[in-house]
Amino acid sequence: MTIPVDWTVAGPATVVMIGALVALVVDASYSRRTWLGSGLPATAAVLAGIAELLREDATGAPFAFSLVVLLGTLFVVVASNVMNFENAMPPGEYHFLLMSASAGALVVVSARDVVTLVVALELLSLPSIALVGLRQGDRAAIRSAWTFFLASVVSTAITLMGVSLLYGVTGTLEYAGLREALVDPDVPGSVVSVAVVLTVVGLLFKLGAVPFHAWVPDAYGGTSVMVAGFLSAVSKAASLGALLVLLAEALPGAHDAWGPVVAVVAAVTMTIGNLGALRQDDAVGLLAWSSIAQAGFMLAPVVAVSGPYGLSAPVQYVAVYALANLVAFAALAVVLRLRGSTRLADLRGMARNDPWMGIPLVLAALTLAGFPPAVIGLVTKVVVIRPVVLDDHVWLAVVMGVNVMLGLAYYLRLVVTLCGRAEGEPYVSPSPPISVRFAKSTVLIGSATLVVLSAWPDLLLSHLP
Amino acid sequence: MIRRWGYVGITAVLAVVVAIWAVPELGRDTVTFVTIGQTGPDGGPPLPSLSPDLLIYPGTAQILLLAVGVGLLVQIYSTAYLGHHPRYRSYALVIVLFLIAMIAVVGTTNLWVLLVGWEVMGLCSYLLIGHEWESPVARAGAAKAFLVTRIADLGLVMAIIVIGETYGTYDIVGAQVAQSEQPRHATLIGLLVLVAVVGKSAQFPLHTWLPDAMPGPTPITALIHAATMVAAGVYLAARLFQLYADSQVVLTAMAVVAAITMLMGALFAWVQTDLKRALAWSTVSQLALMLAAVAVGDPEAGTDHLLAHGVFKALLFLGCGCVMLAVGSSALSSMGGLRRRMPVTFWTMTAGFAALAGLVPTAGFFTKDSVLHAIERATDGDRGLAAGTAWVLLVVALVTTFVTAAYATRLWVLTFFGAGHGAGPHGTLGQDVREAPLAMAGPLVVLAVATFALSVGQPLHLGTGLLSTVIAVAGVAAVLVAARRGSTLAWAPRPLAAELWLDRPFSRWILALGTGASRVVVELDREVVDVYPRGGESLAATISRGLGLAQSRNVQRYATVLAVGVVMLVVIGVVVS
Repeated sequence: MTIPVDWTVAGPATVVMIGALVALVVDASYSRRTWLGSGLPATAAVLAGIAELLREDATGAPFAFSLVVLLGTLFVVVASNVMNFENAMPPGEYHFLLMSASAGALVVVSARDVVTLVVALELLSLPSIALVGLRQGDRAAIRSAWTFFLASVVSTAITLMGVSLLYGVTGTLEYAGLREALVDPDVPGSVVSVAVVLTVVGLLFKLGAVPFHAWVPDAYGGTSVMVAGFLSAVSKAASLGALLVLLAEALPGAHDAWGPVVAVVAAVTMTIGNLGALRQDDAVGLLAWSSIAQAGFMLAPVVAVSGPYGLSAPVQYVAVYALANLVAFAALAVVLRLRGSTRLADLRGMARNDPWMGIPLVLAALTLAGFPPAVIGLVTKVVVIRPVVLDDHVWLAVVMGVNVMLGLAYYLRLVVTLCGRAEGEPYVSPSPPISVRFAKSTVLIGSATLVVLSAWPDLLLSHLP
Repeated sequence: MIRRWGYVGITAVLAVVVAIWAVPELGRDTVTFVTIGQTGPDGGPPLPSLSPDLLIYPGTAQILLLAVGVGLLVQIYSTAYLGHHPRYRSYALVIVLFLIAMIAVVGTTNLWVLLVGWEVMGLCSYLLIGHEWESPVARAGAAKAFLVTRIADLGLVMAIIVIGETYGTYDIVGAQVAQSEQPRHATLIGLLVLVAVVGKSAQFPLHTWLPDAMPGPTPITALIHAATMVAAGVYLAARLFQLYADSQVVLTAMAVVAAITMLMGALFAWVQTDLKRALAWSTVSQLALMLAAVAVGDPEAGTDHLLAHGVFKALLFLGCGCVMLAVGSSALSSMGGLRRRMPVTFWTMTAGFAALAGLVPTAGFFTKDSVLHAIERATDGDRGLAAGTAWVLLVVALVTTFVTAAYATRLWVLTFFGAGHGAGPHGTLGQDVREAPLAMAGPLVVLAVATFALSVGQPLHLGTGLLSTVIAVAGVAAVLVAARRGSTLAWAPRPLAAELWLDRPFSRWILALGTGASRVVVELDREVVDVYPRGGESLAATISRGLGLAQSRNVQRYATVLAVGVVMLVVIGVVVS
């Protein structure tokens, strides 16, 4: 039996997976176990994956999500050099797990049948869980990983229930087949509703949407900062892409079933996420809760996925969100390395006494808040609200407006803290390692991109589908 | 020094540009319509849009030239008068800003541009009255001027909205075209315009801000509170005259306001013991005379008098500044006997007082004559105003002419003649009392020449001309005879000296009312309106705290939430679909 392989889809994922294996083997056979020993093969593999993706000349939402995933992974791999000399973190395993999760993310986005989707989701989830608990001897990390694992297993089980129901009703698991079968009037409507909702649950879990959000603050807070950045940007972009493709390609016939669910989940998610972020006094915790709220903003335009902006709005939003979030997390990773803390009280005045890291952090916060001068953040906020309004979900648009205001409350608090006057000299590590410069350079490149996009938003908006 | 002349240079450039643009229009009969960008009136839907269209006709050109001319002279004058002030730069730049706003108000055809210019003028006026903000009097005067003219601005905004709603355009020319086809809402528009004029031009009952604006620098008084800004109210009335010309109610109200204000202002000017304040009341009175011309249906006579008055009143205020600089005060009691020490100031101000009194051959005589003639023509009753009203207006105007001549002579005598009441202990003036420097005396000479030059080509109406001359000469003679007999010219009955207590509503009652009302508003805001934001805030904080507690790192609890969530989502999905 031969299985036909569509290499235009599987190519980048295969390249990244090979890179992961190479990184592991190099690390295992190279006795000194330095960070670069496995980091260089990983970087090369991601670059090769990007080249492969671009070579295939693909278009559409899967291509855009794949690009976001690969660029995000590249960002994380380079910025992770900040963990160099951290003895508790095994570099080979770290890169292997990171690349495996990245390959899973690529397959999730381009899956065309539900079984592939579920398998790829596991390929994304399990390495992520291991990454969260990877730091040796860190009880908090292991506990976070355990939480993450149990929640993940439960949601996968629910998704499999939904998938089996779908198969029972329609007799197929291909997206194209499901699409045709669901418009058949003989299919019992209520069973389809239950099946669709249960199937979507797994993806909502990966996205960190309420009520499947509880693992997010724990996992982000318990793991190393760059892994949190990976989860918030790459993993989230992949699961949003998978959800979008699944709903648009396989389940448009069941729009009546999932439309209200997605709308309610989006509204509740952004509200709960913002409210949770209000009282955080640690920058990583604040970003964790805020990424829950941002998931709500990404979900909102999904209700209008069949409309004119249905696919492009979430893509554009997630691209800018991922960039801003990665800049923020990388800057915080550097801060944690140099100052030993990411508490807001310790960040006070950073835009003044450490402008090279403080100002990118301000810029990222303003982008996430959608507040000028970070125009691109404002533009993407408009981009996601527009389809919601056009699709006559006025109540959802109102909730989004209220949440933009709620978000301003804590993002601007972060900005004010960063721009305020520091009380006394902050503690700064007396001998920063050279490898911090890699992370710093990613932060600066990322924030330069944000500045360019703010000056010329069309550069992004007209080049994404 | 160079720095100070830089601002004069900016003003001069502005003046030259305006002159190149406006001078050719002076003798032209047709109207030049400068459109920039969009075309003129198109009768489109009334959107509050700003358009840069400018319309200029001979009357407009004259007022523009007056504004930039006086503005330039005031800038030159200020280099000497205020050049060493630490905030000279902001002062000079605000003058330039003011002139630009004035050009916008006078030149535009778009009502919203007019409103913007009108507001900017009010702001500049506020800033310049309060230029000496160290002094509490200046602060209070500035605040009062700002608040009272706000009432006028309200009237203007309402008038603009009503015009837009009535005629479907915010273009003055477009509205006039539409009005000539079908006049509507004339009374409403007219009354709102009247509110705007009454506030901006300091007419009864909103007149009290102008005398209180006198703590501002004297050159500013000459520019803004005599020649240009206060006159803009009258200009507005003349410009929009066509829109309410049919309404007898408006014209009668305007005539009544003008009659009350002109006599009251003249009488108040008579009793003042302060030269600058007397000139301020005189301005109020003269503005009322212009408004009277508009009320009797001859706005051109009004704008003509506006022009002449702008010149001679700027001259008088600038001369007053010279005197103040010499004796160090604007109180009449500290002046006297300045004739020999300050010959240039004396002769130029003499010309100014003559124009104020309405004596031949100054421009003041001719333009006042035109106004009186217009009122006299209106007494036949077929010009919109009832004959009786016009007769009353004429009588009041003639009485005002007498009082004006009298107080002008009084001020002239008290300032320049006599032994010098403010003299030193030995009965002679101090040695430091001398003629003003060239930068200050020069503008006086220019304005004095203009006071005579503007009378060239003015129409002469023999009947009213003779009558007003006789009355004015009688007024002058009466005062001169009294002065010759040794009178101190201090006849000031108590009600007049207290300015009829007309300021009391503003200084006490409205203040008391406002304090009470504002306290209620603050209480309401704090106790009622703020409940929502504060409630929302505490609700958000409570939920946030609850979420923090729920984030217990307890996996069983997470799994419970997850399971319950799934069930609820399935219910939503099934029930709604």
